[in-house]
Amino acid sequence: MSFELNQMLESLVKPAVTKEQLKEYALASGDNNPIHLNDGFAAEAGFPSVIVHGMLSMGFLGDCLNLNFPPDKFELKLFNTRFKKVTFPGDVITSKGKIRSLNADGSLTVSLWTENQAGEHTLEGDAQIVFRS
Amino acid sequence: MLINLNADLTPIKFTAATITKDKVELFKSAVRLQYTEGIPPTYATTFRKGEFAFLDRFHVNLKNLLHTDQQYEYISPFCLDDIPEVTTEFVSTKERRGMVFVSIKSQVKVKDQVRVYFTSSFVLRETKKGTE
Repeated sequence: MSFELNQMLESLVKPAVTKEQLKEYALASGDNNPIHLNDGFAAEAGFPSVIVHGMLSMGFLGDCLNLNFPPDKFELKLFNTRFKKVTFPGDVITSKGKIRSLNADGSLTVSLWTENQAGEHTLEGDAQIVFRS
Repeated sequence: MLINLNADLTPIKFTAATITKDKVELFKSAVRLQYTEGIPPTYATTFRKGEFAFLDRFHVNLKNLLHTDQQYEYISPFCLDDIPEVTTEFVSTKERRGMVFVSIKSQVKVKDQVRVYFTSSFVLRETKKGTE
């Protein structure tokens, strides 16, 4: 497998996020902040509905990394994200990325982001990946 | 008041639930993972109990809270039947333009070997309806 600078990763589209999924994620992750689960609470925080856990979207990005860098051949060392824009139930999130640098130690640094259906970046980040020996 | 700056800052240590196939599958199903075999790297997000305890110590109104950044440094992968030992520490708060930025970091060990470090950053901002 070879990579080139600025090479785009294969993108990954997830089905629209649902409120039921947020309940499932809260149960699985232990993040029960009502801003993700209770519309009334979210309204009091200034949002039109519950908002999606940022870490759920980061999970989507992680799956995109695994699509492009299968774990039997690559190992994730660093994974950083900044949450740029709130995601709501019904949003369709696409994970994207490109090779940002081919490092002297043999590792790769990739830029990553997620987009909603309007093309707005909801997360931005990067990851460092090494080849398994 | 967005945050109680006189809070107890003692690190929080706890033993997380044993990593079982059922728990991993529950997590993978919730994230709709398609290409992740075994334990996903983001499974580490299930070890944030110490963060939530710090936010409680800070008397944070969750209506004012937004997660802004997340960083993971993976040292070695988790395995089924691992029993993670988590230590969560306060890193910093910074006030800027009426908002408070909070950073909290954790390390997760299994049998005294570090598996992952992670840092979570939040912003506390006043909301029209949510401010105490």
